[in-house]
Parts: sequence; structure tokens; C-alpha cells
Amino acid sequence: MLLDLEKPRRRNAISLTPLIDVVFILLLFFMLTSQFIQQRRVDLPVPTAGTAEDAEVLNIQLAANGHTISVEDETLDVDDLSALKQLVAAHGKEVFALDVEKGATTQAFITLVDRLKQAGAKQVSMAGVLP
Amino acid sequence: MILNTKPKPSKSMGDDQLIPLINVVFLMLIFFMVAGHITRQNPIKLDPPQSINETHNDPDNQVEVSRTADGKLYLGADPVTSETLGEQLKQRFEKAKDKEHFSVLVRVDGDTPVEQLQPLLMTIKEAGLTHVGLATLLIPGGQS
Repeated sequence: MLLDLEKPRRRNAISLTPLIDVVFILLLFFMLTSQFIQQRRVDLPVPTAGTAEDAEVLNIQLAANGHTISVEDETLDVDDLSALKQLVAAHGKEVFALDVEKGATTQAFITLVDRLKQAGAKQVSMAGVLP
Repeated sequence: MILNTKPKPSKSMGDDQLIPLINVVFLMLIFFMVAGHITRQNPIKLDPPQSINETHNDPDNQVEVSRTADGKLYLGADPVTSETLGEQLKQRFEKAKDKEHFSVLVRVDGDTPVEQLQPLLMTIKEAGLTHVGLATLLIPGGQS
């Protein structure tokens, strides 16, 4: 007996075009909304009452150009990390109070705080405002 | 001359050509989904100072005070004056759930002279708030 079987039909492949449409829209959404900027914060310590008297304070003057600091009649470069390390080693437990000259920018102040922390300073604060 | 008028053998051929394209688009999609992060953008445009500091923000338990280059003050996204800022900061502090860790994030331009930043910090200090931070941008690699 001869069976007249139909050949199994190949299923039509799902069209990819709507998929690509959706993927493109998702791609556009993520490209436009993602942020790659990394926001951080530098904590400015405000000591509670009492600590200011306990700790000794070392005043550091930041010049208006933002590149030189003067400590006890000594002038140092902000980028000179080994000199800063010696300074921190000599005044280990003191609070470093940064006295900023008129005209120095916030960027210069933050850079100096970063450098002092890199050199090992624990307590850095802004003179005048934060004791 | 014989014209080959036969239709092309299969319609799915067109779709097969698209698969490399879809591969690339999927890879880009995954890159943007993983590498970027979606946050609410701050409407006040500022260019904060750059720093190697790694401390993260705590957006749920802080209030942002922004000072633009032309001297305008904003609490969150609302404009305030330096006279009313202290009072409003106190109100925000009263409403805060976790008073122990409530902090103020000060956003200023990196070019702002420090003597213009100091009065703002004094106002915050006089309002009695002790956790104050300065917004910075992370320098990749830790070198300026």
C-alpha cells in the first residue's frame, strides 16, 4: 500500500525584525540613561565639643596658587609626597588644620586633603570653619 | 539571453544575514546595562572637584546643598537664600528617620574659591548639623 504522506513542512522561522526593533529600543534607553560619572564624597570632620581641646592642632597654610603649603615657616610642595610623609610622621597625632589663603579653589583644597591622607594623616579639617 | 526570473530560494536568507548585527547589538546592550548605572540626574549643573577619595554617598539619608558658580543656593532642587537655609536644614533634620547618620552633602564647583565655601559651611554648622561632606568626582586610577 502506498501511503501518500505529506512531507513534513518546515516550520516558518520567526521573523527577527520585531526582536531587533525591541533590542534597539532597549539599547537606546540604556545608552541615554546610564551614567558613568562616579560621584563620591569627602567628609569634612566636625569634631564634637571637647575633642578640639584634647588634640594638638598643626596649622597648614595653603597658598592662593594651590601648589605650595607652609608649615611652621617651612615651605613644601603639595605634590612632594615624601616631604608630606615626613611631615605627617613628625606630627603623628595632631589635627591638621588647613588654613586656606584667599583665592585658592576648592579643587586645590580637596587635592591637598587627598595628598595628606595619602601621606597617612588621619584628621584633616578646615581651619576657622571646622575646629 | 536567459533571464533568471526564479524567486530567491528562501525568504529566511535575509534574516540569517542579520544575526551578526543582533549579536553586536546584544553585546552593546549588555555592556550598557552592566557598566552604566541609572540614577536620578541632579538638575543643577555643577562640576565638583576631583578626588581619589572612595567614600560613597548615602542618598537615602542626606540632604544636598548646592552652590552654583553665580552664588545661587539650592537645597535639593529648591532655591533657597543663605538666611533661610539654616532653618530649612533644621526642618529636614527633624523629619529624618535616622538622625544619627543624617548628613549634609555640599556640592560646589571645583573652581569656587574656598572663602566663598566657608560661609556656607558656617551656616550648616550653626544649624547644628555635624555630618558634612563635600561632593567630589572619582579620578579613575587615583592619579590626577
